[in-house]
Order: sequence, then structure tokens, then C-alpha cells
Amino acid sequence: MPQDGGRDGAERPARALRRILLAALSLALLATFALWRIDNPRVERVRMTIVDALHPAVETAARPLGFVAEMAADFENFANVYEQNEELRREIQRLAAWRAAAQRLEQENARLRALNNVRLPPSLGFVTGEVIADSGGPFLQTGLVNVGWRDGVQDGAAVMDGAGLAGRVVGLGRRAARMLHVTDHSSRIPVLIRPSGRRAILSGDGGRAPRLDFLEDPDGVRPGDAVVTSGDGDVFPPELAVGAVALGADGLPRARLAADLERLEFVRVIRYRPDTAIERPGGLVRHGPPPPDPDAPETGEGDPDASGPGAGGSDASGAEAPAEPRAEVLR
Amino acid sequence: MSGAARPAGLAGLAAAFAFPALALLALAVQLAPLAETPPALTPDLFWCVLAYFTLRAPRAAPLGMVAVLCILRDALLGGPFGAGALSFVLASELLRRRAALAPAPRPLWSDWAWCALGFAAATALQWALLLVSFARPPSPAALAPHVLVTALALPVVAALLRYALRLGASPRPERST
Repeated sequence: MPQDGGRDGAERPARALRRILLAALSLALLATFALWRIDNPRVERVRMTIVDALHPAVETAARPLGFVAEMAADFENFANVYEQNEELRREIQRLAAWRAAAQRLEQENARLRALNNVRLPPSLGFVTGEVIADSGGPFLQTGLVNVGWRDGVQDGAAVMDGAGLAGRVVGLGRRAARMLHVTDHSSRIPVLIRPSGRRAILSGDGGRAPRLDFLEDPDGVRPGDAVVTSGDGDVFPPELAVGAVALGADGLPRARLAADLERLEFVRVIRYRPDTAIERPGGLVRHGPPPPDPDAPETGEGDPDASGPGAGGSDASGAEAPAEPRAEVLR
Repeated sequence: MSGAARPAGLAGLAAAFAFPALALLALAVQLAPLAETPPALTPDLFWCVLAYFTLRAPRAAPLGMVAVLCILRDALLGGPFGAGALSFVLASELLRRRAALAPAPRPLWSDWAWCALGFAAATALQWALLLVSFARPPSPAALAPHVLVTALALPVVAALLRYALRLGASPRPERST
């Protein structure tokens, strides 16, 4: 390409200008990265504005591609139909035993709640969204969901598939939200291990089974124990199913996730407001999001976590109008 | 590739529109929740298109347009915002420089090697930026398959653009009559 690299005198100022432009652009992008790293909300807002603007196009483009992928998956399934049938039969037998156990536990749970007069979470709803985009890169494991703040989704909200916790909302647009998978390197979630009651931090490391860091007394934890959210920090509701304890190949305790992150199609974004707690006399002035707006559209469809005990207190109709947090006086 | 460097008339116009359209299409394919492949084993199709155009039809991929598309890529893919765009812009400029210095009919393998090296450099720059900013980047071992898969996808994308869409063809040596 000799023409592009022509060294005429006339091209020299253009080359100099180009270098200046490149340097300015590099500095601007570096500054953007620095702002993003210090969690500047404006950067995330800009990003989600772009996502909001392009989200219909992305969704439209993803549809035919998804159709092709589904066809390929269907063909593969068809080829393995006999093996799948056998496996499903075995699965049904296993699930029948689990169903009986679940019914027994549900009854026991109800009895215990009645005995203890347990106060259930006042506001736990969810909104269902479709995963319209994968991260497509190895640096951050994220996905785009086609629900945003107009649907009552809040930043930091828990995201679940049918079986367990899949991630949390890290970017919020009007019509779309970005979810960070629990397997991402920057994901940290406080969890509780049942039945021992040990606490730990679920730390993503890019693998399929996140680590259980800062585990209290690891000897009291056995593979197969249930891992649920602890609710510490009041970001996630407690008792959302996460998975089960497993021992990793590196000898570290890990969580085998209940959610299938590789086949996320529809997800539930939990709308959770922690229970009101008055801890001191001055605590009558509550700092937090406003109460639910009765005029807001109803988007919840039922129990947000059918597999977790927290489901008992869910209020599917508790639609919350998105608004800036403000101080208000409790009545 | 002088013909591609100074695309004339309708062909030049088509190449100018083809670059953003194909880059956005590559992004859409990359974003689509298609298969159960882990992100590390998904090729960066956006880079394949960008590298092809900056090497074979640099005038159809001006710096401003490359920067805008790279920012869109960062916003949509959810990677380190700003770092991805910066590394891709710098890597594409490296390829542009190479296209300007090397004579037009270049061996295919050298273009391939430069594109793969450019992507490896861009990935390494993002990783380094995350590291110096106290983030937790994935281990280099986890990134290596991504670089390898993208390097393997480069000739496929190049062949598709060159032979199916007839974009960025190298000039044929002129015959004396």
C-alpha cells in the first residue's frame, strides 16, 4: 500500500495532525478508563445510555442468530434423544424422592414459622427479563437483560435463573440492565452454608464454580451442603439459593452453582427492600427508598425463589417505582 | 493494495459503508447468547473485521470511526470501559502503519501474523491496565485461548470478506501490453 504511506510534503501536516488526534484520543480513553475504575456513576450512565439506545437493534440481531443456534441445539438433541430419555427417567425417579422431602420440609417450615412468629420480608418481588446479550469477552463475565429502571429494577439487585442465583445488576439503563455473573473475577457475595450455618464470601474467579473464601471453620462444612445468600449488607435478600458446596480440584471449597450460567435465557431480577429496623430513638427518620407506588405497573409474577425458603414472604405485587433514595418519616 | 487504499467511486463508497456495518454485525454475533461456549473460547470477530479493514482498506476505516466503534464495543460487551477501546485503537494504528510501510501485495501469512500480534498486544494492554489499576484481571492462561481462537478466526473472516464480499482485494500487478 504505497499510496497510504506516501511521504509527500503535503501529507506531513496531515500526519502530524493525525498523531495529535491519536494522542488526544488515547488520553481521553485512558481518562474514561480511570473514571470507570473509580466507579464514577457518570461513566456507567453513559455506557447504559449507549446500551439503551442500541438495545432494540441488538435484540433484533440476536433473534435470528438465536434461532439458528436453537436449530443446531435441537438437531443435537434429536441425535441424542434415546440417551436423554433414559437420563430423564432416572432424573424423574430422583426428583420424586426430593419432592416428598421438599413437601415434608415445607410443612415443617410452616410450623416453625408459626411457632416463632417470624416476620417475613415486607417487600420482595421480581421482574422477569430476557438475556439479550452475552459478554462476548474474557475480561468481564456479564450479560444484558431487557429490563431496566422503568421496570423497577435497582442497581445491585440479585438476578436468578429458575434454579439459583446467577448474578447481580451492575449497570442500569431505562430499558436494559447489565448483570455481572457470580463467576466473574470481581464478584463477591456473602453467603451462608446450610445446615452448619457457617458464613463465607462467594468469590468468582472466572471458573464455573466460585470459591468460598473466608469460610468459618471449614471442617464443619461437607460437600453437598446447601449454599444460600446470607443477606449481610442488605443488598441481597437472605436465603436465595446459590448452589451446593463442592471441593475444587485445587482443594479449595467451592460452590457448585444451581444456576446454569451457560444457558441463561430468562432471568428474574429481584426487587428487594430490606425490612425496616429502628435501632435507636432517632431511627424514626428512615433513609432509604420510598415505599411502593400503588400506581406503578404490576410486573411481579409469583414467587421469586421457588427453591429457597425466602420465597415464603415474597410479595409479587409489590411493584416499586424507581426513584432517588430520600429521607422520610415513618408513620 | 493500492486499489483498496484509494478506493474509487462506488467501490470506495461501498467499502466505507461496509466497515461500520460489518463491525456492528460482528458485535451483534459476538453478543448473541448463542451457544454454551465460554467467553474465553469465543473469537473476537469485531477485531477480525477491524484488523482486516485497517490492513486491506485503511481509507475505509478512518481513525474517528474506529474509535467510535471501539467505544460502542466497550459499552455493549461490558469489558473494561475505555481500556478496550484504547487498546484496539492503538493496535489498529499499528496495523495501519504496517499497511503504509509494506508494499501492497503482501504475503498472507505476514498479515495474519500482524493481526494476531496486534490482538495479543491489545489483550495484554487491557490486562496490564486492569492490573495497575488494582482490578483483578483474569490470569494470562485464561486469556490465551481467547487470543488463540481469535487468531484462528482471522483467516476465516478475511476469506469471507475477501472472496464472498469482495472487499479489500490486493491489486494485481499491471501487465505491460
